[in-house]
Amino acid sequence: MSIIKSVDVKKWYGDFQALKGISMDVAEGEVLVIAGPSGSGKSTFIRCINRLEQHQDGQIFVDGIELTNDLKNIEAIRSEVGMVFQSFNLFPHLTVLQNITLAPIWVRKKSKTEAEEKAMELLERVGIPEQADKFPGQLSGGQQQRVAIARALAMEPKIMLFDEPTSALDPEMIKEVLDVMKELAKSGMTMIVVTHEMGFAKEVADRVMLFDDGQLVEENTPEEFFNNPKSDRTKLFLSQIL
Amino acid sequence: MQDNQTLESPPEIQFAGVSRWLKENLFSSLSSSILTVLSVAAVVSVFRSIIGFFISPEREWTAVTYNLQLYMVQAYPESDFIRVWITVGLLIFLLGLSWGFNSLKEKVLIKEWCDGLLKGISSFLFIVLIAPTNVDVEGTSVQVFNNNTRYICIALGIGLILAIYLLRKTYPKTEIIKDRISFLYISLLVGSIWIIKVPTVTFTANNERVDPDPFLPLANTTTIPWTIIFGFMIFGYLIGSFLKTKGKNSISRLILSSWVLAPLVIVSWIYRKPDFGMSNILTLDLPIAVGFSVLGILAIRTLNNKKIVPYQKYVTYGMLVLTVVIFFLPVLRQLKILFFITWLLVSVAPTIANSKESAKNLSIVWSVSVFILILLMRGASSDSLIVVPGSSIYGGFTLTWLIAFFGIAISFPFGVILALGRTSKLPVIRIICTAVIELVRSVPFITWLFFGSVMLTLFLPKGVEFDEVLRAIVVTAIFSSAYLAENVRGGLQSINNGQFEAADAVGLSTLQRITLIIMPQALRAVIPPIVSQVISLFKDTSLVAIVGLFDLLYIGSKVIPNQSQGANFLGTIQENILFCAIFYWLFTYSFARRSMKIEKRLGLGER
Ligand SMILES: Nc1ncnc2c1ncn2[C@@H]1O[C@H](COP(=O)(O)OP(=O)(O)OP(=O)(O)O)[C@@H](O)[C@H]1O
Ligand SMILES: [Mg+2]
Repeated sequence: MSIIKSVDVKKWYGDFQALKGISMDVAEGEVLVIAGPSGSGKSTFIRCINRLEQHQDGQIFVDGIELTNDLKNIEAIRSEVGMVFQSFNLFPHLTVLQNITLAPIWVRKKSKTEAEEKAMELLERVGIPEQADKFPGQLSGGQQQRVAIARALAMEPKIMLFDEPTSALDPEMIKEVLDVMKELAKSGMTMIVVTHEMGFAKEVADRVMLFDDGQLVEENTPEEFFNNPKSDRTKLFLSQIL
Repeated sequence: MQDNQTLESPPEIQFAGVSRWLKENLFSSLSSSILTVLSVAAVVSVFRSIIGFFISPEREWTAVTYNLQLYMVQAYPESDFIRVWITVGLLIFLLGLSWGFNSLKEKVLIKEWCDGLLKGISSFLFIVLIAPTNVDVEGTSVQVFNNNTRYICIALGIGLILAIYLLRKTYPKTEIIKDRISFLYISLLVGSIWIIKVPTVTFTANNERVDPDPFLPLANTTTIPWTIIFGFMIFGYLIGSFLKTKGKNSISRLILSSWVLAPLVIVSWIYRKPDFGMSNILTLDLPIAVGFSVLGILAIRTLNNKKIVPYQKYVTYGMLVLTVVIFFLPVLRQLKILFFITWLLVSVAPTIANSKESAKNLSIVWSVSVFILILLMRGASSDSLIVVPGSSIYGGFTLTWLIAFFGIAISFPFGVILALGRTSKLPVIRIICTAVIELVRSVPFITWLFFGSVMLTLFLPKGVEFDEVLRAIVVTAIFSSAYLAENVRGGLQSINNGQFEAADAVGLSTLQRITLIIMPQALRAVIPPIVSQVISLFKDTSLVAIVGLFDLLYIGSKVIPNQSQGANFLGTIQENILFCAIFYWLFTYSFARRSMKIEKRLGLGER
């Protein structure tokens, strides 16, 4: 049973076609890594999944609901899908704790104490419970990204989307974020991860995809993808990146 | 013993420090020494002449002291002064309450406080030292400051400095809560009106002016009220501090809403002294209030009922049509407004009251607001029992305060809405908001005031009339919202697109995104321009004189200098203008200081 399904998704920015018909599906509990050169449409595609971008042709189903312009559907899907951005995008005017409890309180209508308990649990899980009362600006990049992951998890999503979560980080901080993501993958979360961290893909991915020029050029298990790729485009990509 | 060890900072070293500082900063070379001497001489001579101007016998300061009442409330009848005092008392009580509730109970070292005091006393000593002994009055030199007084002042100053120095030495590490210091200052201020005597004017039995008696307490009628109000303030502070320990969110919301409510209650009931008639309230207002609160509660209860949900839209549209129809019917104005807010309720209730708990809360809020609204409207629409010679019972500083406060308060929501509208994706809304902003900004404020005073009635439906002050407030608010909108728009532009995306990604609705994420950041980013806007609006209220209102500055520049009857202060324009300038300065400066502190406190989240 696939929890995300896309059928021939196309997307244009003006005259420029960023997605040229993407068809794929993701099973529940699966960890999918999307790789590909810059400008290949990876971000565009995963942003279509929670409708930060609108696709113009084709269909996307998330948890059985089709993404259309219906606001109710969009809000329902957004609260099922957590997203972590490359640039963290924490709310700078709120403390770490408030960042995490905001959506559960206002969208899920949880009580404040309940939301705070859950938030502390999540901070524990991402390893920074002592930073709860600081503001995002007072944290390091790696800590901020972990807060962002906790913020997304606070909504108890079924799916987590990661758009290059470690690209804005210094090397020593990358590990702490990847560790959190690995732990999350092992706990059975459905994840789509856009990343250049091939080590992460080898270790935890169930499947790896390569995007190029708005198209899905290869879809494979990690072993096959890295050791025995089907397409020449993948071989070229791997030779450049490894 | 231990204290003695920590005290190891002998004065010699400090003085050496001072002299070294002087040497390095002021006398480092010949040219800098000359510059220093010259500028000190210039400063001294300028101050000397300013002080001379103030204390010259030519200045008739009684023109100010005698007319303080006129300055504050203009022609408000003395028999009803209790209402003015209740107004002031209520506001100051609220001030104390929010102060106590929001105070961080910051502490400061006694040492640091003493340093501040020393600065103040040195400035005082400086002024005493350089104050001129004689001034020139029409060619002859007149003694204005006798040397004995000077010596007494200097001795006093030095004594104080020694005392503070001692205090500083004995408590080098002790901290004191900042609020206590503020209370000390305020109580000194309040105490001083009992003791300090200022020249004013009295009259004999047959209405002849008696020349300034320098030892008459300034407005001795105000000492007792001010003292009582000071008591209220402390009382409010204590209650606020106590409530803070309870630390409930609802309390802070309650305090905030009393700030919204208090000015409305003041203008509709306390200050106006409405001629309301108990029977009207009992037979008309009470049934209407009960009716509407029941109607609202029913709407809240039923609109989320599964069977009604499909028809929600029709209920909203029906209510809108009804509101418009009622608006044009010749019924009580109260009803028109009530129907309007009922329509608002019907349109928002389904989204706000989506759980039992929130439905209950909304019902309570609704009923309470209906009752309060009806009472406010009764007060505001009844005739006033206060009789004044001019066009309005509001005058002097009361008027300045009123226009500034309501002008700013009303312009805030409108400014924010206009800014959002101007950045909206919907072209119709964007064009309308842009047009409004540009139109309002491109015409001078005075023109708008004239427009409000002369032409507004032409555009309103027959029978709808505003009083002159209300018109001035409306015009001020509209004018200020246009500027505020542009400031807020600047703030909106400074917000990173990622904030919008993150808010969307966690599932916030558009309204939540704006109120919880975007606006708090946008407003924070533009505090400095908003503060300057508020300050200039406060000063611009003086322009309402042009449509025949008696604001503070008008009284100082026109009314008092033209008083030929009674005390006769003909031509005392310098004194009065100076007083007004200092008065405006006191308010704007303390506001600016306050907002700098708030900015600092909020700035914690930035970076
Ligand atoms: N808002 C936009 N307007 C116009 N073109 C856009 C927009 N966003 C993306 N594009 C274009 O769409 C293409 C795909 O962009 P996308 O951000 O999805 O690439 P990506 O694979 O995520 O690349 P990177 O690895 O650099 O993040 C790029 O050529 C980009 O220039
Ligand atoms: Mg990208």
